[in-house]
Amino acid sequence: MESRLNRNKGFIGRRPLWLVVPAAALLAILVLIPAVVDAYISFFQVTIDTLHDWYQAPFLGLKNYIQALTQSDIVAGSAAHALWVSASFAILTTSIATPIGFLAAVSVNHRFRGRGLVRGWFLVPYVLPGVVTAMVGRALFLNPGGLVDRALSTIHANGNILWLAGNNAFWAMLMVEIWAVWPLTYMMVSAGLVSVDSDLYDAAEVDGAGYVAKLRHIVLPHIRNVLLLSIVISTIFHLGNFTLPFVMFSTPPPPAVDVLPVDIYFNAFVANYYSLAAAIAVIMVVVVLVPGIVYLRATRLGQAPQQ
Amino acid sequence: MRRRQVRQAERLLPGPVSLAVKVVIGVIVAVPVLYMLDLSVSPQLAVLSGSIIPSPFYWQNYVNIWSAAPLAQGFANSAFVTGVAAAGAVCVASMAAYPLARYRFAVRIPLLYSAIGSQLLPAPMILLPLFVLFSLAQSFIGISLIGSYWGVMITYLAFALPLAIWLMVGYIGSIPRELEEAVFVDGGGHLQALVRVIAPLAVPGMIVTFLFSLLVGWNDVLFAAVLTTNATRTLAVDLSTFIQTQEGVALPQYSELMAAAVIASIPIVAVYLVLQRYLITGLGAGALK
Repeated sequence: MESRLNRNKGFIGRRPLWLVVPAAALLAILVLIPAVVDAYISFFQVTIDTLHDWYQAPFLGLKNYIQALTQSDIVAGSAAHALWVSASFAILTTSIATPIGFLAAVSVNHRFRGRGLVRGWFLVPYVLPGVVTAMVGRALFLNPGGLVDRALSTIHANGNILWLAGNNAFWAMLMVEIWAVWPLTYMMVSAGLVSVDSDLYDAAEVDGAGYVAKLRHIVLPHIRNVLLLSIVISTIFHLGNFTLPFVMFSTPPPPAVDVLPVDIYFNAFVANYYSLAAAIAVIMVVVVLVPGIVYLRATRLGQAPQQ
Repeated sequence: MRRRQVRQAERLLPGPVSLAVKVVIGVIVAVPVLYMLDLSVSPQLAVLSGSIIPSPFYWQNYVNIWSAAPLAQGFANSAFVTGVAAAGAVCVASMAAYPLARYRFAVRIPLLYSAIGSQLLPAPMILLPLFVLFSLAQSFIGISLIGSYWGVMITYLAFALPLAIWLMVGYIGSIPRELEEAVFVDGGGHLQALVRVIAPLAVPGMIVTFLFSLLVGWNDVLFAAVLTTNATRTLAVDLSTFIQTQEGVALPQYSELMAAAVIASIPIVAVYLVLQRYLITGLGAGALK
């Protein structure tokens, strides 16, 4: 249908395809080629000594991958451990933040006084710079003296919990991430709700439909794709978060928050074993591909131009 | 009468439930933000002794912070680098989005997929090869990218592109073709159609794209830490360096840190709040339709 339109005489002249060249070139040079180089060096022994002529480094085959998955590295256990931390972090955060974002979006769908203010306020955690969120997170969970610590001791709960070290660090990071990222879902669901024709609500009202019926039969079908997309984007976002664990905790961070980006960073830029870091990165890409493929399908980019 | 009915119909939760959700979420958002503001006006000793209400407000932190960390320079650097990168991303993405939204051609699908796919690559993975690439550019072509503004700037631009392209393709796709056809009938070319017709209509989409692109640079610690020098260092790196120097110190300056955090947050929060009304409608009209 589209190809017919393109041949249509209504569109005179050659198609301006050259317009994609700058974007394609920038992405290729700055993102895709570096990624390919990384995948390449993951099979070699590129360290700080062999970096200047990395293309001549000794070939190691899968050795880096085996080392990554079986041996402890500079931060903590193996990359398999980091993989586990990353996956639990991303899945838990997404599954808790998504309902919050959804509820927030449906709670401000109708007009009320101060709506703009509430909507703006809801965006604040997402808009705060990642470094700031991490710093505030650190201050909140500080022991002694942090707000969480003080609140817990006020109610005489099991006080003196070290949140920034040991296994609790994972939960502290999780809470901060959920706090920072639920507005993404809120934003996307709100945008999805914009596309719902208000006549549908009126019709539902006339039919005497209740809130549950409205949510089930009007809202959910309309925002299903958006919701799926937001779940996938959030998951990818959580998997890629480097700043939060890097800034919120000590250097290097406790093993409980040794997510993959942190693991890659410390192996590359502190241990200076670039090939090992590259191997971990490749493992991470393979993992991210799972939500990634869902993402690619959900964006429906493969679809032809409309009309 | 009719008006009230519409209002009623758009309500998706029973009144009390909706109010409760708003209040609970609003308070949860508020606690860390207020805590940050509170610490930022508390004297350091009060923070450690655990008194929550600062009395009187201790503004000295906001004065001290400018000398404790090179904030002014970092602030200017961040604004410049992030702003130019985001504006560049909007231009480059809008250009690319026009043919991508309008025509079907051989490399269209691979291009779109690799743009989106590149978002799946972990950033630390890109950093090292990028550094090597930049130093090659330095030694072979004589362009110095490491340490200069341009290095981080084009990096942020490129990293903002996937989402920017996706948003702009959605937005331009929602603009009816008939409007451009009027330009063609008048003998205008595609470039003219893009500049005269598409661009003005796509402004809300561009604002949304600009907002999302701003966050890429303003939030980044990783690339700027490696690709900048003292003179070009961004605010986020200054902050993360500052917090790391406070590690293991007997008296960590949390109140000054929070003052710095507030300063780093104000511009981006202000930009978002001012342009907020475009955000959800712009997203809704284009990409998420």
